[in-house]
Amino acid sequence: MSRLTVAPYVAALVTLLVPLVSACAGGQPSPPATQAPAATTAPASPAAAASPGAAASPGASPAPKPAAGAPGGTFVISELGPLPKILHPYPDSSAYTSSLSDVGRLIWAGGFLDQDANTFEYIPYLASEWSISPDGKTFTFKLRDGLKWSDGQPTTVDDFVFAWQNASKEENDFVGLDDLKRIDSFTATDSKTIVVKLKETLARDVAISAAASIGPVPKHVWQGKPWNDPAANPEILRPTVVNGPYMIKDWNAAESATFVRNPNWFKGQSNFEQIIMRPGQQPTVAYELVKSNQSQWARNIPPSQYTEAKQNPNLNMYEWTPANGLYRVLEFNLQRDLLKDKRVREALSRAVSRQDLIQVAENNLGQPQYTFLNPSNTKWYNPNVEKYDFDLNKSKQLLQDAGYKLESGRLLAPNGQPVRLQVLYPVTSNPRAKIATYLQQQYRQLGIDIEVKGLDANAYFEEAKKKNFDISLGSYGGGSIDPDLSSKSQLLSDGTQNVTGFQSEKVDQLIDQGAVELDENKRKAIYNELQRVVNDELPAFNLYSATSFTPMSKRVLGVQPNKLDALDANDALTRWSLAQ
Amino acid sequence: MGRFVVRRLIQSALLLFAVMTASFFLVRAAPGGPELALLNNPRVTQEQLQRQRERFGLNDPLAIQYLKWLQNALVLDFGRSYGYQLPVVEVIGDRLWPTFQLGLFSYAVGLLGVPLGVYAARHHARLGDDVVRFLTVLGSAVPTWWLGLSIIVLLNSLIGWFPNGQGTEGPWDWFRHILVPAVLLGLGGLITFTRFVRSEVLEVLSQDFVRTARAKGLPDRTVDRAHVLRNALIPIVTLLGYLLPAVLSGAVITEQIFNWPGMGKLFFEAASSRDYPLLLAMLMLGSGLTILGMLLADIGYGVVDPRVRYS
Amino acid sequence: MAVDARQARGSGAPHPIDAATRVTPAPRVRPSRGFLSSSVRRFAHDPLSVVALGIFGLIVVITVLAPWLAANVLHSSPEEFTRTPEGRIATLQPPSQLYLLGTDELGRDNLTRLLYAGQVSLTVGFLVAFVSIVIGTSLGLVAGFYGGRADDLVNALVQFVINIPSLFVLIILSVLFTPSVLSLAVIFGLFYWPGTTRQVRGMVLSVQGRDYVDAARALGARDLRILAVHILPNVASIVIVVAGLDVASAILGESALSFLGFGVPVPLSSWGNMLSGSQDTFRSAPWLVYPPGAMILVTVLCIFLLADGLRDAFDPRIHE
Repeated sequence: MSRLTVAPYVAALVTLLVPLVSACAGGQPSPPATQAPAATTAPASPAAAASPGAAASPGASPAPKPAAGAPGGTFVISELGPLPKILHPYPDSSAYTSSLSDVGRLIWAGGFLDQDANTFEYIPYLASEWSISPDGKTFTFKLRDGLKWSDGQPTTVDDFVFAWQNASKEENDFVGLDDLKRIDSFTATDSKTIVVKLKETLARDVAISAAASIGPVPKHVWQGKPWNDPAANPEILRPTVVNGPYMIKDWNAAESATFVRNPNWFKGQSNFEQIIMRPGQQPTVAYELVKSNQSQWARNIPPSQYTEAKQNPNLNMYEWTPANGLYRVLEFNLQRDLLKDKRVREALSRAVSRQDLIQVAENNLGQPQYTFLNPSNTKWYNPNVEKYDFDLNKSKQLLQDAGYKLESGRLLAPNGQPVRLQVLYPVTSNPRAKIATYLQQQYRQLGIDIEVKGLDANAYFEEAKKKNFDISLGSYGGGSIDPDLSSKSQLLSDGTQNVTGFQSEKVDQLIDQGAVELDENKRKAIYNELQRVVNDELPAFNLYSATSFTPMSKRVLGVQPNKLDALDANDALTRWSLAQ
Repeated sequence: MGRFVVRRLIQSALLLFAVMTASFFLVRAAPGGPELALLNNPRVTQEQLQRQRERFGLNDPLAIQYLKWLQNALVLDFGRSYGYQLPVVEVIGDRLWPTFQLGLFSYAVGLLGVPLGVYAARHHARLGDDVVRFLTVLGSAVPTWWLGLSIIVLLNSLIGWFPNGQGTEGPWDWFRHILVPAVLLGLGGLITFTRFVRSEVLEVLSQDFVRTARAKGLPDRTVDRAHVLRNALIPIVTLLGYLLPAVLSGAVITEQIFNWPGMGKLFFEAASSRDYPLLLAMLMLGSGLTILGMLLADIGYGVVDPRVRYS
Repeated sequence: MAVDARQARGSGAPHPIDAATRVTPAPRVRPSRGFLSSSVRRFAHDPLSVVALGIFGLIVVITVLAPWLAANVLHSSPEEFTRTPEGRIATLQPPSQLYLLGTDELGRDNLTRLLYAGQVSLTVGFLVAFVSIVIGTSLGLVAGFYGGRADDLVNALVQFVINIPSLFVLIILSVLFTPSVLSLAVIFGLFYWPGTTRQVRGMVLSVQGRDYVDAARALGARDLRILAVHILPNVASIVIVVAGLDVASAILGESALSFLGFGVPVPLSSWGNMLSGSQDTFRSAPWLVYPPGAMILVTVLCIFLLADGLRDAFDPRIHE
């Protein structure tokens, strides 16, 4: 180039300014959520809950009528995760994805009972009446009249028995086989009654979960087809005959799924005529979709987008603290010499400020959690445990007591070696990346060198399983509120989620006792004791549970958070509607 | 020429074999496995985890697994995807058409670089060339994913809409959904083509025979057609070969941002969930296409440029 | 794999300035005397290149001085969580007098982080280029100069590396080694060397075919002398240009890797992972988005302009 020209510089200037223009066009940058309200507890919803008990009503739901919306319209949901690949009502282990239940709730009606998402009581669903024998082992379910499949065929006890016979076979590898193994027999005693016998006496909620776990499969469609081979049985991928509020219209696993109202749903007709799910979105994009009304519900958005979403005049932000909400844990590898000493574990726990972490990792959308149960899980949570509150001085003292010396800023073990810990976490989790960074800074004050190791999610599970870490950042939640049906996997000596390597006979004993105790008060006492014992041992330091929040278009009416993490539990979605 | 082609074909086959073997062991060396996704579920038992591994044959010695896979691959049986439980060929097949669309469109965008490069070369050391040069440099200095997200945010602010996924309601809908991701994907190619063609044309323009042609009084257009473009074709032919795998292999980042159901997204998902059969088949496809592309480029190069001799 | 994935790893696919097996433009080769001084002169007369060099130099100087600047001018550190007077962590504060570029989600001063991140990004860039050049030049020289079997071997190696799935190598290696800036750069560089090899090989072949090299040989000059006097200077010019492009490409590639989750590991910050980490706060905290993006843009821009300028400077034909 032999001479200076002005034009390219103007071009460059313009190009650099364009993004700034777009930022201004998008409104002022929103202030950070430093004053975000403390997590609000979900309002107790009286009228919304169906009354528990053996009501023989034909299933009209006594929910509040939607405000001013009319039935009809298309409801679009944008999601971060992928669609399930398989829609089998009894998926095998390889097909398991967490989004399976979101879609399952739309097309499969479930089983005899449903758990109310506010009272946690079990209410009749496909059953019109049910009873339990005094010894808690025999369940009798009476099937509701007039149940139909989406093709008009009646749903009969045969469909239930057919499902049971296939799902309980070991070789079919049903992911929930654990529950089914508790059932001794499953028989239809007449054309409307099914009797389920359990192998042993179990605690009431655990027994119900097992006995009522079977939902029907349309025998007239599935009979003769292989149970688990999608290539030979297309029903597995695209069930054509279902019994939920919606049927599948279109399925493009990579891009979107379309559902239409099922006119034969036993509760009547859902409000939305059509539902479209748009999965696999980038977090920024998921929010932009609901912002531009290309979707009406962004099922999950990252905490950092909360502030802007909340201030958007076209969106409603629903926030609630579910009893089975997501929570994060600092898991110590108990096989490491350093961490075998409880004083060290306590020191490491007390050096962490839960409030700081909630602010930094969840944008203030969380509450401290002290045991393996969520504080919102008021049925089972025990507040009388050692909380290990933030106390840096106590940490330093404990380390000293344990024989560690602080020398020119580095902590030395009794054998003279400087203390170094590795923190493991999956890179796919942004909040955990922030927690790891925080730990590195914080433990530096104790003189401990932290190596942060982020792995892709799958590799993370492998390394955690192989115990190649010092501290692992775990994340649990969702699922049942019952301690036997969720948390025990982390505590049992051979539990698949037992990352810490925790082994305690007492704990194993308590868990076994809790599973079979019929007296609700005694059961509560057992789990109170369990939480106390586990906290005393401190194999893992529970950090906090995250507040659930989700933005929805203001045009969607009738939405009310419940006490579980799914806003659309108990067929709530069928009662929402679009404003005109 | 014929002997050259045969020799290159054999070389290509051997290369493919070597790459696939290395890929197999590399893929398996990565820690993790398909059964680990189950650990998200608290109800899963140790037996179920083990059963998964058995089902997929993952407990056999690695060498045996390799031989089994190779044996099947040679007869084009790539097995079933762990996650989709369908034959791998079917799963990939579903994504081929959207990938092809995106790739071809972006390729067309890239080819716009040819006239752009010619324009720049002819306006060398003047405003036109400077602008093109600067814009191409600017374009290659911005991370693609960032550009993509910015465009989405910008479009949303300006018109309250942005493309997400495929457009299914008619040709205009299809077009407005594919335009932005294709341009984003094709940007790299566009810039490459522009710069290549520009430098190629510049070199040709300065060569003796062009000066001779001009001195003879031939108009620029004839000079262009007869000499400049034919010589400029050479790198294009080479580049065509390199970009062939790009047309079918998919683009991980662009597809993720615009939710385009292509093979790039599938590849990333398969990698994250350690879906070995699917992954290996896609690697084979990608490598195969790359090797094929380079082979075609080398052959085409020999056809177009008579100066090159093949021993 | 794909065209945009080119930013995620260097590949044997052509660099923006040169074709694959043939070097274009092929500079008219000259013996080294006078070459350097005339090149420098040409460079100095191109204002765009000089300005680019100046800005780039400034960026490098500021980045190198980052620790000093942080301690003495800004009085902050890149890792410290700053707190508000009430004792809470000062997360996501907009730019103010106290925090010139605001704070991030962990309450760290953004400007300080930006400076330190520059060190990481530039180090990665230079290291990657270094690895690529060292391996690429030696292999390219061998392949071009000795030809025959050596050439075939090098070519096979090049083809092989191009086709290895880079995403996987990165996943595996991020587990086997604790990823540090050094290891990431070395691994990254291993994906860039095929491109350099092809450039160098092409250049060597082109030089070798020139008449005066034949003449030199006929006169009895030994291999080493030919290499040193004729080939190396010409190779050097193209290597410098390729190196520059590798640096730029590596900085961009690191950003793409961070987007996918595999770049410079947190909590170390680079411009690339600062940029990708800011995508959630695209609108709510733009002070986190634009500074690293601008730094990448300006740095890469300068390097490209420099490379262009250097190439033009080394190639006298363009100016005739």
